[in-house]
Amino acid sequence: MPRFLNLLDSPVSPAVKPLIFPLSCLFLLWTAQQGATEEAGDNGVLVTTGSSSARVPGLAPLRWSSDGDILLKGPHDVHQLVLTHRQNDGEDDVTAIATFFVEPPGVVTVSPDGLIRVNGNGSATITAKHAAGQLSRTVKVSQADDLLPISFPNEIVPIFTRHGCNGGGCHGKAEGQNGFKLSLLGYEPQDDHGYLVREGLGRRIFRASPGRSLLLLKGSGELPHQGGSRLSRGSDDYNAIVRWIRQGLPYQSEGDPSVSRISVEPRERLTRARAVQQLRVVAHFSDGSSKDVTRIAQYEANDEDMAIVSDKGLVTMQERTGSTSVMIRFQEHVDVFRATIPLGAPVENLPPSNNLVDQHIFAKLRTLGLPPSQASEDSTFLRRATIDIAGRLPTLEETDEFLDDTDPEKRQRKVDQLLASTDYADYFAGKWAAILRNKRSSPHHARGSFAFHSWIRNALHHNLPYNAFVRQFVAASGEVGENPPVIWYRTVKDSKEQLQDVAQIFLGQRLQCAQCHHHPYEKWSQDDYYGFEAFFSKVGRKPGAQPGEEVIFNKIGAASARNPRSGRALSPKPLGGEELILANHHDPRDSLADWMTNESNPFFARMLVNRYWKHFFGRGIVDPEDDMRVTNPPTHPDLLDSLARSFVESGYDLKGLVRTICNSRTYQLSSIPNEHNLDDRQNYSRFYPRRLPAEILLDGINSVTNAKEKFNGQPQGIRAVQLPDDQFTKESYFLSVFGRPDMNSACECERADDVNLAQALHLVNSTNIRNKLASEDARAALLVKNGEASVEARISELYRRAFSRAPGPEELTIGVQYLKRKRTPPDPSTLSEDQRKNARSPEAMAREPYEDLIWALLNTKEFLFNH
Amino acid sequence: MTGPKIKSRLIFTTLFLGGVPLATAQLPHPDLQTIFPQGAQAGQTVEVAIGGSELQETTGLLFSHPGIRCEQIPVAATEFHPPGHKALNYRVSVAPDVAPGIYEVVAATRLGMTAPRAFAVNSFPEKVHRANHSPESAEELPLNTVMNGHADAAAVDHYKISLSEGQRVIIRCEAESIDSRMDGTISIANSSGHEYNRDRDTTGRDPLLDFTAPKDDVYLLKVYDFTYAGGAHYPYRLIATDAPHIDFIDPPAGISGTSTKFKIYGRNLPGGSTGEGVRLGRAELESIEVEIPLAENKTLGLNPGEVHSSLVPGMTWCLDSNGRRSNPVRIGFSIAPVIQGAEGQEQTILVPSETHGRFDTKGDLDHYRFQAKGGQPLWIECIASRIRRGSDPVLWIDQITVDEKGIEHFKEIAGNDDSGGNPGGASFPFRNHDCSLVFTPPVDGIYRLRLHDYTGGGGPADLYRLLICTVAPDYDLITTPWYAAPAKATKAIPRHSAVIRRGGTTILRVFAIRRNGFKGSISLTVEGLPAGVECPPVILPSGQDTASLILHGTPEAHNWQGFVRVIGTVGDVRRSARPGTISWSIGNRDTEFTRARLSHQLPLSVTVDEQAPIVIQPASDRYEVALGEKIEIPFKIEKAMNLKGELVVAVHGLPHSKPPSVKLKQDAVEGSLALAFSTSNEFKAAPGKWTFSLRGECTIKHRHNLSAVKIAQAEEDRIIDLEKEAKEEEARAKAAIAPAKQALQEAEKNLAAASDTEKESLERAVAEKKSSLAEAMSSSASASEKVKRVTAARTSTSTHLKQAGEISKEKDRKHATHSKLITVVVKPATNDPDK
Repeated sequence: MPRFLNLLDSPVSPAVKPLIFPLSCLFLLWTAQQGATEEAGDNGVLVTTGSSSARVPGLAPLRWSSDGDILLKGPHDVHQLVLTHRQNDGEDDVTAIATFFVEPPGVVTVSPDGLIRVNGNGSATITAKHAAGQLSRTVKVSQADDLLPISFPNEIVPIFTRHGCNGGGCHGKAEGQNGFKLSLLGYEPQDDHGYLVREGLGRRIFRASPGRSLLLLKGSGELPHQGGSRLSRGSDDYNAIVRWIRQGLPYQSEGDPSVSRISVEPRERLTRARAVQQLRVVAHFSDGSSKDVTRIAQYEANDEDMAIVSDKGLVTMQERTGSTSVMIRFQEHVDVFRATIPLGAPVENLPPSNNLVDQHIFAKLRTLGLPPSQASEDSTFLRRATIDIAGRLPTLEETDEFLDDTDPEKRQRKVDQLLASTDYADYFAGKWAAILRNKRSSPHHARGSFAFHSWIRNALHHNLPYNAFVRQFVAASGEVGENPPVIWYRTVKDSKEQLQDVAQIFLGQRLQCAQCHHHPYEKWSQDDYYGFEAFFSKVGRKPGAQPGEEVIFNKIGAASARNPRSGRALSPKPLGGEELILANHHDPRDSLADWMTNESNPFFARMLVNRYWKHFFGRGIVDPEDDMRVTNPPTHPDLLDSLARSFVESGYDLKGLVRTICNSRTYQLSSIPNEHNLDDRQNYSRFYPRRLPAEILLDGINSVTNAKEKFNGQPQGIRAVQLPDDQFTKESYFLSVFGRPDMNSACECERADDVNLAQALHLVNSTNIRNKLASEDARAALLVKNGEASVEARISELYRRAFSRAPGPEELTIGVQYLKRKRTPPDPSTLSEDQRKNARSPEAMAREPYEDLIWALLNTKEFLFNH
Repeated sequence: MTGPKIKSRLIFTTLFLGGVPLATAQLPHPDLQTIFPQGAQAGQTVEVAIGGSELQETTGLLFSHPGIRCEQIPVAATEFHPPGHKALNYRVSVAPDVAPGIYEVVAATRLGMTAPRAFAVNSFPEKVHRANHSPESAEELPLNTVMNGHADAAAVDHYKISLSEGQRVIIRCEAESIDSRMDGTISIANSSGHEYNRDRDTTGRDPLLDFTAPKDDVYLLKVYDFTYAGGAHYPYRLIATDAPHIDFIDPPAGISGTSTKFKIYGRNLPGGSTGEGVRLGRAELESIEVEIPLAENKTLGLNPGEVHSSLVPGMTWCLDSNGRRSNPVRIGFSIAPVIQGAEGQEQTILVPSETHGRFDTKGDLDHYRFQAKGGQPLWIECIASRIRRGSDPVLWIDQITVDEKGIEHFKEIAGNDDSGGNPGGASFPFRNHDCSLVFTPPVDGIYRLRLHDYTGGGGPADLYRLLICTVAPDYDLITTPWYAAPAKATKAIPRHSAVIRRGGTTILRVFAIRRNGFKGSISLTVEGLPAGVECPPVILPSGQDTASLILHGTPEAHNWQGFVRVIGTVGDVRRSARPGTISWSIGNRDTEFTRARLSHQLPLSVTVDEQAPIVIQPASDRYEVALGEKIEIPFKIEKAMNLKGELVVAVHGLPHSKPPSVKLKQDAVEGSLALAFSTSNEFKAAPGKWTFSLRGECTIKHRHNLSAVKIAQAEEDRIIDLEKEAKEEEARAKAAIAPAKQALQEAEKNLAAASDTEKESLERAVAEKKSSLAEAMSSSASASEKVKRVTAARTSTSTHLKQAGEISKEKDRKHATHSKLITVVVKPATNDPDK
């Protein structure tokens, strides 16, 4: 069976026919959701004609992306047509393959890719013809002969952005490029106007002969330009600049509206591999008018393995199945087009949904025609859940007990047991301590960093509701003795860092960009940034009880932060909200916590469930998990919303959330791919294996080899996952090479999860591992000493310790053969003096085969990965 | 008070034992760093071991309660040594009537008395822990038994406790309260390893677990220092008890001499109920109402809490229930009348009054209103952090005006956050996070007072007392022995006690806690000084909060150990300074901290057996000068040790930023310093009495404990004499063999030549000679054995002597010293036209 089915091909093969029903149902559902005026007929019952396009009665096969007459104003106005051909199994963009006719001619022309340009005043009918039929609409043109005044911010600046002139690597960087500076991505059009018109006595513009302006000569590459030729002479953009120069370099006319938002048509599409989709982008102005900006907007695909996009807004799908998006930016506004590319394989015998996770995931798998893998085996589930919840491998006793247990509810019980254990608190405390930057930058900071870690651990162990956890953290005052979260303010000293960390960790908003300019991929402006900073503007500090400690308190006075560009002092302002008026004694951080933990906060719960989702699945529903911008949409928006809602309704119950995730059948799917889902990276049709985190791997090796790690200043036997702060990453080569973070960043991405040569060499060829294997009380020695057990039993014990499963017959045979192989000690006469001196004792020699076997097991993917 | 004569025997057993040496530049100083176990049950006797520095010639331990006594533990005489006693072990007996509490102990040593160390007395039996660093080695912790242990570095102590289902215990680990460096942590888990809870810093830095067993089980307790630090300086006293535990008491104060109803909040309270739903953290507290007679504290135990808290007038109270005593709590003594604060509304208070309020919620801002007379200063003070550590109140005063429409307008005209700062710095850190101010109303009228907690506290235990009264100047004094650290020599802060070496000086630092608007100067004197020790009065100037008293020994001084008092006088108001100490020494003030606390007594020691290395002896300690003139202060330098490099002598104690100084060559025996008293200097003098000292800084070629060498030498001499005697005896014995042999030979010869009639008597003679020879040979052998033994003893004494010699070898040591105080009476300028 081919991996990808091309449903555009016709006729539908018998093998494909069973797919038509579910896909069509989804399509009908989708159209209903779009609020289309057309209604699916006959309750969605299909009329199968045997032809390539099964029709739904009452629905026209062709439609425009928007209805109504097209109104064009002025000689340079344009309109991008988007023509869609509906079929019962999806929708296809046929803009580029339809033929357009204009009647009467002379009013407008339509390019083959559907762009309408003005020729003269009047009204005309445009008819699109396609194999599926034809469709007409009216276009009305006014002021075709008038010279309409150009708006510099709305028409000229977007040209610079689109051609990369004002990018961060070019004239948009802080110092400009070769003496010519523009504001980054055109966020400050007033400044840009000044740079062009007034700076250097306007030397870049030649009013008498616009075409000889330095701006255009360089931009078009007619004069040497490091950035090459960006504007071809005679192009629309080139001409627009010429017109602007001719008009006398206006900024804009009085009363010119500003852009209040942009929208893309269509916003979402269920499409197919290799299909194309023309987008149309409309700017909506403050006066209620709108304008087609398709050709001057900027496009960026989120995942070029799934879709690529041209500068004219034409999206071309690639081969991979799943959901992807294209970001559209115009001025400081963004919108997103989302495409879902189904595989179309039969999805049968889906297990019944255990909870809301399964409902959403399985629904999408049906949509995509992407059959999930089988359910994982008990041993795999046990190992996976123990690693993910408790941060360790299952013990031998746990494994035996679980595998012997016949209770159908045993998986749920195991999840509950793991959550009740302090191992859960230990593991997740380490996770939170890393992003909350629990650093010990000096030896005498230990009390603080230990206390902060302990506070987090305690909160998790007692399942402090997440909203209370965040409130206690964000609005922390006092001393480390009474209130350990104040230690965060020791590491994160600057109010800008504080706002950035809080926004990223708890709201999934990366605001760093907006410190210097409008966020390029989000709606956040500098006012949003500094309004948010104002929440931290009254954090006061006094000397604490011990060196390296402080008393954190709320200073009295008005909370405010100054936007350095406008000079305006902003009061505390929640993201997307209005500035707050607060009493002088009021701690603005309390108001921040109020807003964050309010049930209606659009970021707070979604961020957390997404973070935890990523923890368990290796990929966020939004990924990266803490970059939840509009332009980085979720793969499963409804799931994200449902999980967040359920989390809020549970009273922000973190353990409850873990239960929901781990008890889902989705989480319990096998990682072994079926014939369809090997490439799946975002639909959770199987479990995505990932390398064990550094601490769990080290602890796991220690538990299999019966070694004990010694960390500086920590009691013997402490596990790496229990370590409180960053200090031990520096100290332990193992932890450092396997990517334990230095806790310098609020981003979980600081933890390296890659696989590299240094790691492989360390596992295969290091004294550290060798000592663990070969010590007197190592597992190998214990196994040899245990004379009562058979060789098979010893091998089985090792497999159960390392993989939480018994060895297969072949594995057992190989193991037995290896362990029983006769070994002859080397002839002493052949050894050098040194070799003789260092020769192992006969007891040690007897341990060697076991050491080898354990070493081999530790170096398997099955051990190294959570799968 | 003097100690018993040191027995030379001690030298041999203890000379090279002792505590952790600190990398400081100070002269060797005795310090009782550890005493273990650090407590005993009333009515019992316990053997304790002490540790510290310069304790090798300790003569005894002195306790702050007369019912606690120590005796030396005898060691029997041996062949070459007289009877002695153990050097670092003592038997401590606690009389049955000693009330449970924390007392103090000092060690009396060759160099003087040490700073005090806490010593606890309890009504429960006591045990001493053994090695228990693994769950397998967990030690049984019986209920209502005090377990004395100490945290080890990078280790966890394990205990097991058997509890039946529903049984509730309070588990405390006392460490901070017994001067321990330990920041204790306790966790509790069941026998399967499931941890229920862990705790730290619930009562100060000490943890408290309130645990109710969910089932019959043997539960595992883990006890450790929070950062896994440890050692002998990290002692703890662990107790699991069903005695009541008090978390807080409401109101926090009452009027002394009355009997007042209080509500006690805590756990395991007799007849207590959780009906009020009061929670502290995760704990639900019970409450009971108790009537308590309030009277001056008669108990001798130390007050719990920090320095400022301990200064608040009040009493310590415990709740007794079924023979079990709760933890102690402080109840303050109010100024009359008391007003009960009401939440949620602005309250009118009177002047004078004391209001008992509470920061109910985070961000709480309480409003009060009072009528005041213009120009009449008021003292306004909030006591909150002194009731609950972690609170940080701040207050503001608003002037209220009413416009013609009857609308009130508020104008903030005064405010205060923290009063007092940290006058002791890192060496004696004590901070007051409470607020207070003198408020002088600009006009007659109504004022508003707003009170808020800066640290965001808020809850049932966040009580405060708001005092408002007319200004009635008052103050408290604290004094502590002070270490004259050489500048830039060290960041260490050693625990110090007042010791005067022959001809030398010692410093007592005094801190003034000014109250009720008091700003004036305070005259400071020392009472109880022995003959030969002097300290002229020192004026703590107006507006300042620290001064130094310098005690100096005169040639009449003799060995003495006792307790003295520092007295402050302002007009008729006399205040005895509360002695203070730090709990432990530190090596680096930038990274470590020490804890300051008040103590019972202020020990002073005079040791004439050891001379001060450098003595700066001013020609006179009293000068008179007219304002604007200079004085020349000649001084002599007496050296007991050689110097390395020059000696810098500077004026110390006057408010110079760059004090006048003079550099002297290392062999100089005298010098002179000029000091100007003018109004134009950076030190702006005014007429009056000024006191200061001459402070010398140098590097000395220090020789430590020369007396130990003398004693070791004497001991070696004694043993050498014994050895000599033994060898002489051996020689004599050996010498007696030859004559005996000869006599025998002669007798045998005579016997051989004798006739039958002579034979019998001659045979007897031979037998006698044989016996004499055997006896001589035996005596000789015995004498030889004795020589061997005495030689071994001599080898041992020689080793000790060698070691004492090593220790006393000359070493460079940075050193600072102060002369006795010089008093200068500054008179108005003679040429001042206004005078």
